[in-house]
Amino acid sequence: MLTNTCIALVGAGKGGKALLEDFVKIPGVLVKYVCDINPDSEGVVFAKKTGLSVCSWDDIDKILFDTDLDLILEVTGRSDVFEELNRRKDPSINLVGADTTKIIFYFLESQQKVTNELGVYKERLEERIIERTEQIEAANVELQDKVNEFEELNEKLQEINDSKTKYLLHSTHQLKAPFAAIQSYADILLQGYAGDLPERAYNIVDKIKKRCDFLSMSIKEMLGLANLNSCVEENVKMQQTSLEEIVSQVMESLATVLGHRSIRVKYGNTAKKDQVVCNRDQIVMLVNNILENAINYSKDNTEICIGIGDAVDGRIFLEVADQGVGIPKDNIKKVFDEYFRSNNAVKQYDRGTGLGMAIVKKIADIHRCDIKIESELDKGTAVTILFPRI
Amino acid sequence: MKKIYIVDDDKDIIEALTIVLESKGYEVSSQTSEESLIENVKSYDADLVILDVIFPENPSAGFEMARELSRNAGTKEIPILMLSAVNEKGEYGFSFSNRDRDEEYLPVSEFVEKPIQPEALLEKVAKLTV
Repeated sequence: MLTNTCIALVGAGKGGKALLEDFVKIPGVLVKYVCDINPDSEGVVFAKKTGLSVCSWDDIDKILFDTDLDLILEVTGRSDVFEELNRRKDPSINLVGADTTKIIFYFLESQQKVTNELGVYKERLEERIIERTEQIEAANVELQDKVNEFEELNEKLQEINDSKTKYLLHSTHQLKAPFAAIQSYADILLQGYAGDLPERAYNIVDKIKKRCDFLSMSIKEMLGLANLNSCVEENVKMQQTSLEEIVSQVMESLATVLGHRSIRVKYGNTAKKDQVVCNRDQIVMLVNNILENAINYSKDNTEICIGIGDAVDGRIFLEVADQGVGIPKDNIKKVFDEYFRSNNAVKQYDRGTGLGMAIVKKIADIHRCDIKIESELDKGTAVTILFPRI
Repeated sequence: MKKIYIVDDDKDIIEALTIVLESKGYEVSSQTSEESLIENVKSYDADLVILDVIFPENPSAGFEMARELSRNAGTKEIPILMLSAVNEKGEYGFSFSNRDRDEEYLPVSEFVEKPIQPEALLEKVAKLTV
């Protein structure tokens, strides 16, 4: 682009006017003089209209000796005029003849054309921007509607979840209450609060009690699993808890059973920090189920090793390893299936519900924990839970 | 002998509790609804109240009765043993809420889980009626 260029135009006919029209649009170009022999020529009329300084042919010397000028453009097309201007002008001023001026004109014209086309593009672009903005605004409205719809749906789901929880609580009570009465009566009879029972009657009541205990446990586990399967994970209350505290709590509750079976427990915690973020009640249940399995499938006078530590990948592990009956290789994956029980497991312990590990899996999923099971028949099983680090 | 007042909608549970408690010489009286609880407990002059949690018309009636007893000048010193078929530890996430387990909100001295384990029951009752 030309900047701060001072020019004079000699010859302001039709072509001169066209040039002028272009020059006046170029920033930094000052048209200091417009000169033509004909004072009514189109270029002169245009110059006057646009406030440019017009110079008559008689005053041509003003142009030829004005050293402020950078350039004189000769547009007359007459070689004698060009030669005279060239001969007389101050040498510091550049003179461009009609032929070259024509090239400049074409250049300016094509630049004008490009500018015009750019203007059209700009207009089109602006139109498209407006159009797209409108589309985005419409999409935003639609999105907001969807968000509202989603929020409403979420509220409804929350309501359904709440009523489901109430229903489960109610069902639990409805199912457990009659059993509680039967079990209470059985205990009273067995413990002699209603007088001594003949041996045969005692054995029958004992069987009634054991069956009730099993049914009661099955109901508890079925409802528990149903509740876990339908729980909204976002609504599970999480808190930071010490894994060791949970293990101690579960071990305490199982101490009597361990004593009865003469099973020794070795416990070790090598974790730098054994804190996990969890729903405490659920992790108590998970640890309880794993440890109960270890006890139920252990042989008498064996050992269970419980370990907490830092895994190589930075997670925290809890491992429970027994010296029990083990799981056949093909069945390892199946232990997470609801109601699945291995034949050798049933032989060892016939009161299992087949839901314990399904519950463990569900709780592990809710907590983004991984489960690893290593087992060898008649040697034992090691279950490892990997908790995400806080 | 110490007097125990039982509130449970299940007559069989009342009977089972009564058999166990009377075997150790406790005097027992009971009711199966929430009606006139304060008056009945006062007139019986109970040393301990055993309360069930869930009643047919109100699944948290037991909690409300416990609060009522603790607010009444004539009954606030009487210990309360809460009885429920639902484990108070909330193992399956649909048991008592944390608020229910708050001691200020739920002025209960002890919990006993159903079914009644005679020895565990007698141990807790003995502790609360010293």
